Amino acid sequence: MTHRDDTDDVIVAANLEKHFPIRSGFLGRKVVASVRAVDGVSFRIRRGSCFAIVGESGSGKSTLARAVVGLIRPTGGEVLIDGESVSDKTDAQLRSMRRKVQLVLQDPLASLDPRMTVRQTLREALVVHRLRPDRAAREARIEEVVRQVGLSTVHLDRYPNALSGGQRQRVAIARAVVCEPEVLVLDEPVSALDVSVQAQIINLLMELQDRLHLTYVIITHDLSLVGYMADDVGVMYLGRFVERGPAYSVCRMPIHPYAESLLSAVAGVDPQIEKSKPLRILRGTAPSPTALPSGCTFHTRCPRARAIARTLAVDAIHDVEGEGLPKICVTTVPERRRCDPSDVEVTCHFACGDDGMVSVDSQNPEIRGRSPQ
Amino acid sequence: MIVFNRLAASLPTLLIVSLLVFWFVDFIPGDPARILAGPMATQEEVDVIRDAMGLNEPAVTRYVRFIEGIVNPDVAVSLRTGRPVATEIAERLPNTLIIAIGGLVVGLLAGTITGVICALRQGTWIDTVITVLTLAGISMPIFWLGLLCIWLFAVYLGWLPPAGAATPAHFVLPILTVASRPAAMFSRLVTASLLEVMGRDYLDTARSKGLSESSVMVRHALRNSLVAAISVAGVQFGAMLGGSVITETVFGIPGIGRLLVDAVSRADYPIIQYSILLFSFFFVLINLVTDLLTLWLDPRTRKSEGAN
Amino acid sequence: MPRVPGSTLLLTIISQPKGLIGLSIVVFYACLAIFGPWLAPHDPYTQNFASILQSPSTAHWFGTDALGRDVFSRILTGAQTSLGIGVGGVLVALLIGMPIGVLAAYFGGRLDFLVMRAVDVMLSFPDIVFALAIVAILGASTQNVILAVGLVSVPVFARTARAVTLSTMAEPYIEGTVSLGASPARVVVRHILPNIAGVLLTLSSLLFASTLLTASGLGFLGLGAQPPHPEWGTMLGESRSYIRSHPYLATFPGLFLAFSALGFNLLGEALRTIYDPTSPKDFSYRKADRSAQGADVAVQPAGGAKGQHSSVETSDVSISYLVPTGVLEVVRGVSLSVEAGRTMAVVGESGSGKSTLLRAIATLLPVGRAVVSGGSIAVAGQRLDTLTPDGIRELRRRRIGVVFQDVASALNPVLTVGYQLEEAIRSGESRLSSKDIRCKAIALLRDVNISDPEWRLQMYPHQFSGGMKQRIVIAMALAQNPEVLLADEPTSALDVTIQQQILSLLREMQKARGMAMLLVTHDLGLVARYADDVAVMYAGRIVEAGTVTGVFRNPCHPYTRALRDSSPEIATRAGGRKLPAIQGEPPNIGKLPDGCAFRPRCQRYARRSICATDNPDLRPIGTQRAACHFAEEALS
Repeated sequence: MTHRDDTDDVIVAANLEKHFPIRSGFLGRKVVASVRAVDGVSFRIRRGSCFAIVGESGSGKSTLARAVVGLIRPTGGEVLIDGESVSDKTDAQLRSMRRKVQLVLQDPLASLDPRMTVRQTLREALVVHRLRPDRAAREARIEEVVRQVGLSTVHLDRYPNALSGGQRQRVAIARAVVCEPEVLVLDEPVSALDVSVQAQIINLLMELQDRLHLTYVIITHDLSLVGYMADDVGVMYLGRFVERGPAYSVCRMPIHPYAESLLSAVAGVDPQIEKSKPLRILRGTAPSPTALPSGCTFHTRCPRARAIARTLAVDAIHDVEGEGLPKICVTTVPERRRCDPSDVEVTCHFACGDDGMVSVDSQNPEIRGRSPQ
Repeated sequence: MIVFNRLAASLPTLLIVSLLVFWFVDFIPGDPARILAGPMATQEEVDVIRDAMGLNEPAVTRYVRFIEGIVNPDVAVSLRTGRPVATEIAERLPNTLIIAIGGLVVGLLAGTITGVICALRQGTWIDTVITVLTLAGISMPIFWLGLLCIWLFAVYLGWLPPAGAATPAHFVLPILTVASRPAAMFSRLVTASLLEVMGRDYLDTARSKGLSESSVMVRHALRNSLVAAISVAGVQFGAMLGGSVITETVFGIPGIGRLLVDAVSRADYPIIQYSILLFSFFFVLINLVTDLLTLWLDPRTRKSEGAN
Repeated sequence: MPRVPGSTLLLTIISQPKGLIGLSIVVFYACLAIFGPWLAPHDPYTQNFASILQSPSTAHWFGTDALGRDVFSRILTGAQTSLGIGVGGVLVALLIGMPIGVLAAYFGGRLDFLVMRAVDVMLSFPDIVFALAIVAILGASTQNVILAVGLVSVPVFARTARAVTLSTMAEPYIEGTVSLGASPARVVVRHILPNIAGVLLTLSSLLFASTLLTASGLGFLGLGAQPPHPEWGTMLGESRSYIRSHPYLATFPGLFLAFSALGFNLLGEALRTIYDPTSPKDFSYRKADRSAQGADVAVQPAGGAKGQHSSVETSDVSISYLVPTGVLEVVRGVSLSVEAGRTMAVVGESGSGKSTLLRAIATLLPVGRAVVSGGSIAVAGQRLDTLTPDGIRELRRRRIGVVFQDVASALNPVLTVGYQLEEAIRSGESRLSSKDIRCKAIALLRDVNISDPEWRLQMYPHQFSGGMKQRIVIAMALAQNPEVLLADEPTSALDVTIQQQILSLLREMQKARGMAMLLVTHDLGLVARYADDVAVMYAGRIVEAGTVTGVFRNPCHPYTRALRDSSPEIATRAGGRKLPAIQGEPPNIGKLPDGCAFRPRCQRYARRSICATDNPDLRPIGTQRAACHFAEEALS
């Protein structure tokens, strides 16, 4: 199929932007504001690797994933799939390109057409892309894929509501792989499943990746899943990556305070460790993406900025609750930077050890217990 | 502000409606001038009348005159009686409104009470009885029900007058008849929305506060289910106004509906135009009122004033 | 959304009384329309002035009219016209309205705006007046009436088709198909149309009834089918003059008309219960209520209450749901106790019965749909089954606070937060002045870390984010200083960083006020972090219980052990290593295997016969309790 070597980039996103206009007025002709769902995001995904996009609701991670698949057209920047730009394509070309990039959604019951049997669902994928026009070959392919995802041919003639949650997610995965894609975009692939079934699906996904040489893009809020499955990760907050780099380092030693708090939300199963571990609980909720805060968008919730203003002599601005923040956080958008020696890019004014981050953290009173609202 | 916005939003609708009503007369078969002149008139006489009526003028001028007729009664005159349309309508409007408003009030009361009973007594005999009655209510042709009522109460029992609009007693049968459908609709709607609301956690929240079941129902459940019922009440009121063309025929009441039906059969086009325009005006008004009522009852429909 | 494969549709319709009656009436009328003219005993047009206005007799079953024509024959012949107008009208409305609505929803933008505006305008005419106007233009005839009543219903169809298309398009499977690369035409034809067909079928049936009534109304006014052609509405119109002397003339056409409308309304109702998820499925409750009486008999007085009182004590509690097929036991003999000042977590998957157990303790089982069918529950030393309704209310008022999972529906949307919070305070302490109540409400909001409480009290729930709403629910639960706080998955609908805020808050409140907290969750990590004790539930039973440290460090039950081991640990990129997964899926309540319910998924089972025959009891193993025949194997 492909002549490239195994280390090339299958997806490249450069400065990707998706703004949704908020219209008003007669016939909706006046654009009064825009939702900056994705706001200047760049990354490369190596063929055969697994890239994770992590964030909470409203972070823009789902919009980003859909722009990567070509389901929505970006308002700025570019996505290249196998070196071809998505934005130059006509709708029809885009549709045939979608064979290469397939989407698996969170809720398997909702993501399968309730009126189609498993066989019809899988057959449709082949028919749409005119693969295996020969009827016998098509049926053979369907049976092969069903076995690959750990179901048997008896499931083929059932409707989705006659399957269990885990089986449905297997069908959704089968539908995605039946037309031999190169990339699977997995949108929260296990979070709607029962705990005891999640591990099965994770194992299946890992196994398929190896066997079919797939590239994965995982969208999730769960850093433990990222640590387990991903090679690289981008942590999103309000439409931007605040931290991006190899999963082993972001998941072990996050640098950005938001990534730190996401990691601290992951609870292991050892009660003694969990009860003594420092918690980094963020104050408040994420601001609306229609009205982004000035400077660093995270400054309204950032515990590190407040700790720095308390302990170090910096030029400070006071927030509504009278707490000090370094002026730079409120006024200046932080640049992407790399902290040596790691490979991690982070968007924070006080990211790398050189500005006293470590010493501040050790004195941070917010680390344990609740956040003052 | 919101009130003003909604008001402004309904103006284009009214404008388009008035254009349609004006325009549609051109399609009515028969020449208005010929009708006015009478069957014996010569072609010359008809032409003179045509000219006098302004039928040969451009459409824009005629439309302006049509709109002018809303405020100036002398401009629009019935082709059959020669009286101003405004007078004809003003004489009959009270009858129509009494029946529609009376029907709505009776329908709302009966519907809400039976709806609540149905929701609270699911699966009992009274639920079954009410369900059967409401199904009959929405399936019954109003004119047949009216005829049956006339026969039973006026002819057989002799309690009430069968037709006309002379005394308050004349309005009892029409009001009860038109109330049957909204009562049935409302009863079903209140039941359905109460049952839906009763599955919500906030009722359990209220119960876990230790409130009595009756205050849980009145303070928390009923208000929420009424929100859904408001818009149906509006639609039903509108349908009753429209239904006046039938009820007023059944009960021989001089009202707008009867006026319109007669005008259609006599091709009295100014009457047709203005009475349809009046109906539409009421419809737009009703929509506006239900919108505003919903806004008042359901805070979610108001623009959120920036929390958090 | 509709999930009914076609072939079973008929069965589903006739399994409801409404559907059976409705369908029978509709079939009867269809036969009438087809065969009516042949069945008529007399010619419907022949006038016979010798026998006008005769009462019903054996010769003329329904009598004769003013021209001496046989009413029965006219009704049979008129069926074709009357019902034909209905069918034609609905077809006109469907064929014009459905494409408009679907296209408007699919393409959106300007087209959608124009369509919706046009619909608005059309809906500003009362429908019978609109039909009247069309008939006035086109002239009175059967065809024109069809056109008129059809056009009148176009906006309703367009609007409904648009709404269901929009909601279908929001379903993930449509996005899934689009992402597969399917063309818009394919998406509409293969996925959207079949899924909105049910709703449109329902609407057609209901609209048929109202179209029939509108059309016959026109006929009644003399603007429908023209004489001498028989049509039921026209016949009623003709009968009006004779209502004093010959009421039977109006009776029979009206009866036929009303019954046909009834039939289509009933059929529409039956279809709606199938296709519209929001419609009340009352036909299933009725059966449930009957079985409820049977279930009540099965309630046994539980074992004697103990002298000391834990804050919550359940002994051998079973809870059953009443379903159309009988009784479904979802909690099967659970004994646990929660002490003051401690947090007990109940962990389980979907169908484990954990939420039902919590609702039973909260005295909030849905009335008539679930009952405690065995054992007893005591809260703050009081047995729930011995309490009067007033006693239960008193218990809810002073002892129990509840926090629900669904943040969105736990607060009443049409009342201010202040009203709801003050209501809770007033209900707990009726003697407080309204000023004191307000002060207490403000203090409570401060306790749950909501800033500007004075201002927030005037706001409505929808003006808050999910996390803030949950804080308000917690404030309401704390308003009455409860001894017991019951929290049902309080954070699973919230973002991860907000989860930690809420759970820290709950834990802090529980400790500060010395309450007993029962926390239901599926997340082992949260249990490890925030609970003191844990009970693991599987298929309605507790399979393991003890302190969190004991159970998580040394799980004795294979299910607990597997759950613990299958959570992915952070920062361990697999490199070919598989997660130790539990095979299979949680069992279907109602179809539990014999013996130990976990046996089909158990790695320890090894075909030992006792596992297949005996349901293991919960028994002490070391410092905890476990329900496994071979629990000791975990210790060795």
